[in-house]
Amino acid sequence: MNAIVYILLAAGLVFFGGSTLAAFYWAAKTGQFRNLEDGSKSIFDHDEPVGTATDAFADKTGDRPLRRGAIALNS
Amino acid sequence: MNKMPVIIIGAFLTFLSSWIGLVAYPYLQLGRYTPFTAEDTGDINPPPLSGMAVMGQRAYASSGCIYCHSQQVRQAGYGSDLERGWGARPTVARDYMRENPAFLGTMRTGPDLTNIGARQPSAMWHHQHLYQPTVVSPGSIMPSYRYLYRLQKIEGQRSANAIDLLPPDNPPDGYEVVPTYEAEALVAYLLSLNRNYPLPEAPEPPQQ
Amino acid sequence: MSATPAHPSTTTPEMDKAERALIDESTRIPVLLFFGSAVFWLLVGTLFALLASFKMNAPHFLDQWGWLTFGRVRPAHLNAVAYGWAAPAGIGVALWLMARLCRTPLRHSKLLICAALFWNIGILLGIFGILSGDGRSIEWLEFPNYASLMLFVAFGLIAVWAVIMFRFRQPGHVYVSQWYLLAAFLWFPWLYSTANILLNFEPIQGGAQGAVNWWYGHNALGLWFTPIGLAAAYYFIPKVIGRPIHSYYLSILGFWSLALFYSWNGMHHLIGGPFPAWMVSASVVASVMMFIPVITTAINHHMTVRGNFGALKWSPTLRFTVFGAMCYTLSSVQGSLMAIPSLNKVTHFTHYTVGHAHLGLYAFFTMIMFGSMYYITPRIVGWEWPSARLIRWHFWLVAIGIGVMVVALTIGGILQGIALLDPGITFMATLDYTKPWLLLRSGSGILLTAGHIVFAVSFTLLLLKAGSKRTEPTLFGSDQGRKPESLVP
Repeated sequence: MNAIVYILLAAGLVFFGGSTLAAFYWAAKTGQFRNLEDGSKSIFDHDEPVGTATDAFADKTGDRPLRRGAIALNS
Repeated sequence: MNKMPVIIIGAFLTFLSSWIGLVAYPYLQLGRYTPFTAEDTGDINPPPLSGMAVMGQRAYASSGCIYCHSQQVRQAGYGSDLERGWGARPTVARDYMRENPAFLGTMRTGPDLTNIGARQPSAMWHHQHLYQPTVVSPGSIMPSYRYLYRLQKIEGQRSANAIDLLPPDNPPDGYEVVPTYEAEALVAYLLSLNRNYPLPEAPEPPQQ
Repeated sequence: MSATPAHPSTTTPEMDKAERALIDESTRIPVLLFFGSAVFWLLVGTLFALLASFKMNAPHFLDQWGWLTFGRVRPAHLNAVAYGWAAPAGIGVALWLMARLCRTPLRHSKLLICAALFWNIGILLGIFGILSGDGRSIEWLEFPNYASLMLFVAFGLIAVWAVIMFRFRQPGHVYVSQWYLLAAFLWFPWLYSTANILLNFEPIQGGAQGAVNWWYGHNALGLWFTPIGLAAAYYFIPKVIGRPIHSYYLSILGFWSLALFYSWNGMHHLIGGPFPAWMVSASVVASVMMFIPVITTAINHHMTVRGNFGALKWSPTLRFTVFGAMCYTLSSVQGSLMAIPSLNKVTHFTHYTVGHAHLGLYAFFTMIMFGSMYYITPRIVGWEWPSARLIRWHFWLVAIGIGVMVVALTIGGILQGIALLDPGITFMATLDYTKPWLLLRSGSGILLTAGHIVFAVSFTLLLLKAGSKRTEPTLFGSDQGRKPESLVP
């Protein structure tokens, strides 16, 4: 039974370790680490661009919930 | 930004190192102890467990004793374990070689049980305590384990293993409280908990 | 080789909106399966928690049956909330996030439906096993083998699905949340299988088990729950406010340093225990180094929300998520401090650790899951939350509940710890220091239970479509006289 444990552990190591390394290699190669600040905008699109609150809420002065909330952008 | 690959490889190697250090190393080193035979007395330490005690280990796990009781005596400087008389010496990895699982524990709602067999060597004490903790330990907040005991009518002679109980915890006249097999096993295991024997890496300190 | 922009300028807002709606809808069945069962197990786990807490106040409460003894109800609570509630809620959020971030409709939903089935059978068997006496008493791995095998199969299916989804993603940047999610999906099967093999299937010698146990136990929090919670926070905070994360570079750095330091942390649960000193020291050092990813994350989240804290007044998602993100910082800093031996001496073996665990898994992770579910569920069923009042009750009940619980356990734990350190105080007397605080903990448990019931009612009403057809989000401030026209600027 000891051998089975060894094989299972070794297989786990090779499989998970290998896929981690492969992921790292791929990320570096395809430029995932470049243009990082652009990357941060990838969750926005033309319908919900930067500056659009999506769980809409009031602007800072009024108490009226707005569909397109007025947002304080980085000053 | 081009430092990223270095960070990446570093992260992987560190995760790997934790796997080696906290999994593979314990498995290869801490997991391969053999018992130590003392040359002068011939004692084998840690002593082998009786079959009953092995069953009791299972009962200990199934009742979840670990959620209130630890089984580890920390070194001096890490709490008052030694001063409280929970053990003559700190425990070492070899002490647990026969344990499955090892009930190290992370909680002390109840006292440490590393050496409970030495502190309370009476089986009757343990049965009374398990049946109704406050009988022998006033103020205790341990729950009763009376589901491990049977109330039965006395047929002729009172059973040899019936538990001695005083009012108000005693059974009605003509009845007795006897431990189930699981309770007997659990007590056998608790009585086996005595790790005050010396090991080469953990000599027993001189008696005061 | 640079990544192409996520949304080419050729698409119109209408196209983007339609695409998003399509993707959201494609996740409906698997995500609802995971969410639904999570809510169910949350209620079950809460019931066990209440029972366990009451038993600490009144040891004789329901002690006549082995099924309901404290030593079984407590692990039943932990496993029901950790594997029954937190993990499936996290998986549901992760599935939805993966589909959105890969910008592709969810594929192979049958894989996920199978996984949800296996998962729930596993939890059912596991809880039943613990209550009937098959529990293993290995913290975080109490499930008997027949249950953990089911969970592993479910995990395998989900991991395979995640890799497939990632393969079919739209070209573009891989957002930081995806890093966290993919890593979690790969790390966890590794952790779970290794620990189960070594502790339950082919148990290694007892002397080595503690190390493997806490390697797993701590990594389950750090490399599974934490990445999912942070992935959600990194998505929902900027998305709800409509402002990119303050420093994306810091977020990526935070990810890798988390991977770097977390995996070594586990041994701080065994300081002073029967292990070589270097193992424990390494864990203490790694635990203190956790300040780096935690502080970067805290700064980043704070700077993103800065100037928009008023939004917490309106958005349920944001309020729960920011609460969770703040508690992430709090519980991580607390965790790092607790690993320092001179402080660990006081807190080890006391209720303080229990308070810390709830700060991490509840105040951080669970609150972020609540926030995420408030965002996701209406978008996948096309129906709004029925009542802002229910959401408000939910928030305040659980926020106050968890706050009181952590404070009670922290104070009680410190008093207990100081008493335990002093051999002049009898052991029985150390209990007396904790008793009033444990009573308070039960009180806070009642608040949490009420909060969970409110949430479950709200969730059920939403599924029954008792709210209004989805036009606008349900906001905290909008339950009275809510007229559609008043919502349009």
